[in-house]
Amino acid sequence: MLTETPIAILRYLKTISHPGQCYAYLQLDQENCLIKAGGELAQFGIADINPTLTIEEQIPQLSGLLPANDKPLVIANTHVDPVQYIDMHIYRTFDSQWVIFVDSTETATKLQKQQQQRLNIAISKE
Amino acid sequence: MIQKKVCMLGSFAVGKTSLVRRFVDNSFTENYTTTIGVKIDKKKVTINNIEMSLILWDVYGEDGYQSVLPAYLRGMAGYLLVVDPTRPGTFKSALSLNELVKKTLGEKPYILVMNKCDLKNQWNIDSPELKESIQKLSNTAAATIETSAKAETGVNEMFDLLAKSLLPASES
Repeated sequence: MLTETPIAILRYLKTISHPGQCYAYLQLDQENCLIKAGGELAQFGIADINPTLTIEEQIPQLSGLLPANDKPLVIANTHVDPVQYIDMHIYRTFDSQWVIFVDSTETATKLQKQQQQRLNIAISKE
Repeated sequence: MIQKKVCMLGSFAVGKTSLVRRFVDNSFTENYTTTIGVKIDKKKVTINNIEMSLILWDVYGEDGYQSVLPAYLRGMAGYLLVVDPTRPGTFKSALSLNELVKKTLGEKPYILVMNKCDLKNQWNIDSPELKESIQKLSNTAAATIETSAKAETGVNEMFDLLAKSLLPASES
């Protein structure tokens, strides 16, 4: 799978910390329709994307986030599935828009537990 | 079909997630589970015979969010600004959030949501400062509504009010 990943994605993934985490990517045209997809698509529930429909119709969480800017937009810890957290990275190059999904379940779950403890204390002190 | 991204904004533990759960799958739990990042749901509403798909962004409410929240607001059409009148500090957060939205996106329609109206005997909103905050937030809101996810009060209505405020002027 790694060998099929475009260089642009591999370069981007090098800039973020994602050791061992699975990922998937979408390459979109300027009309937000799919050009190419790869990575662990099934892990993110996006294995059956119809290239003739816009991506927002098929992945509602992207609604409002496209078109992408040159500067990457990172939506951390997106919780769509009850047990999965995803970081969404969205940016554009000169001829394409890229959406990268990185699984962040492990770190987000730890963060959730820490935040829960902190806020329970905060509420008890109010 | 019209598709609109709307955000639930407010301090932690004001009941944002409970309101979404009541609206989306008609469930409620007394247990408080803090939200990390954002939980995204989708639900269709029909306003004036027009179907609209609301993409609901239930955004984490831990205070001190100013540096990262703008990314979550991208593409937001409107929002529900939720306060817990049993906790006066949540009005201060609401005022800050409102300013942050204006600074990030400009004016967007919002509904001021006075949640936990099942605990109205514990509401603590009589001080002049809080009355002023409520007035300020109400003045720029499309509507103000009292809600309770627990008692099933006002939940569908608040989403309908927001959806209505998002319709093009010719349709509303």
